[in-house]
Amino acid sequence: MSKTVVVVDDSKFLIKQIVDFFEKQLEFQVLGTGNDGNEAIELYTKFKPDLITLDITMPNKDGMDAMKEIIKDFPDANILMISAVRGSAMLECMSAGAKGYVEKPLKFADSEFVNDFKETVSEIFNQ
Amino acid sequence: MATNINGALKNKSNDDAIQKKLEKMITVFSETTCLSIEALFGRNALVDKAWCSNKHIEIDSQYILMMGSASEKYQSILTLGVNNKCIVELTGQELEQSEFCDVFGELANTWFAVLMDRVDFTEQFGFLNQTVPILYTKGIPFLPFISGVNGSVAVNDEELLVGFAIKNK
Repeated sequence: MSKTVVVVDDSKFLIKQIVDFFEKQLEFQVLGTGNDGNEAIELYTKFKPDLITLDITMPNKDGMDAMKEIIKDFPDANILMISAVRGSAMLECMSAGAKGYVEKPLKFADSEFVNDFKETVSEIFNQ
Repeated sequence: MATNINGALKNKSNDDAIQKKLEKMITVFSETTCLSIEALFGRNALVDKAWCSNKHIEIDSQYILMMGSASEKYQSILTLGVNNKCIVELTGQELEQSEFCDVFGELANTWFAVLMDRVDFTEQFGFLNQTVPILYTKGIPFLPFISGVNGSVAVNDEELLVGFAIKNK
């Protein structure tokens, strides 16, 4: 049975690309997509997917706050942050319980980037 | 906020110092723009009009997208100006107006990410965190008394205008 994922990003343009990647490259089943942190919590609670991807900078509730709330209720949640934020953000997310962090831009035309992304997802399930 | 002549001189001195730093790294901003377009849209962009440092930024374009960013020490604003032809050239399709902010917000987001990967920038200004973008139509934003750079790139002759300003908090 294929693994399931929920994708959350405030850019619908990027959501299409991320969904496409998970469906075609990783054969995941995409259960839902959302555009802010509130929708992330709602979707995670509803579907309890094998993986949820979260952007950090989003309106209403950012990805960092959403991640903390999801982990509070679901300590074993597999959360992959996908963000353009640099600096200490990666360490903060990983310290708070994210299982992986992928830096934007998402260069899906670049095979090295695609392999890194796949490896990051694979490592989440092998931890 | 009130200030005296000493405060005003100190502010000017800070602005001048930032302007000098920007002048030394102008190519960082044009390269960042080209790399962002390539990363997001898979299109080659060429530096168009000469990029320069400026004390004001004025962009006249059909659509203007602005995105702020900040750290504990600095705050900045990125301004992108595009028209319909440029949008079609970049995305390969006509977009609904509601999609502009989505797509060009992501371009601005990517621009900051690529800029934050430039050590020559972060050594001077550190890491800045982006805000959510705002889109204006038919606007001509004018940012006076700033330390900034501006210029443009072209994708198959369609121009994308860029302005970036940064200041001490």
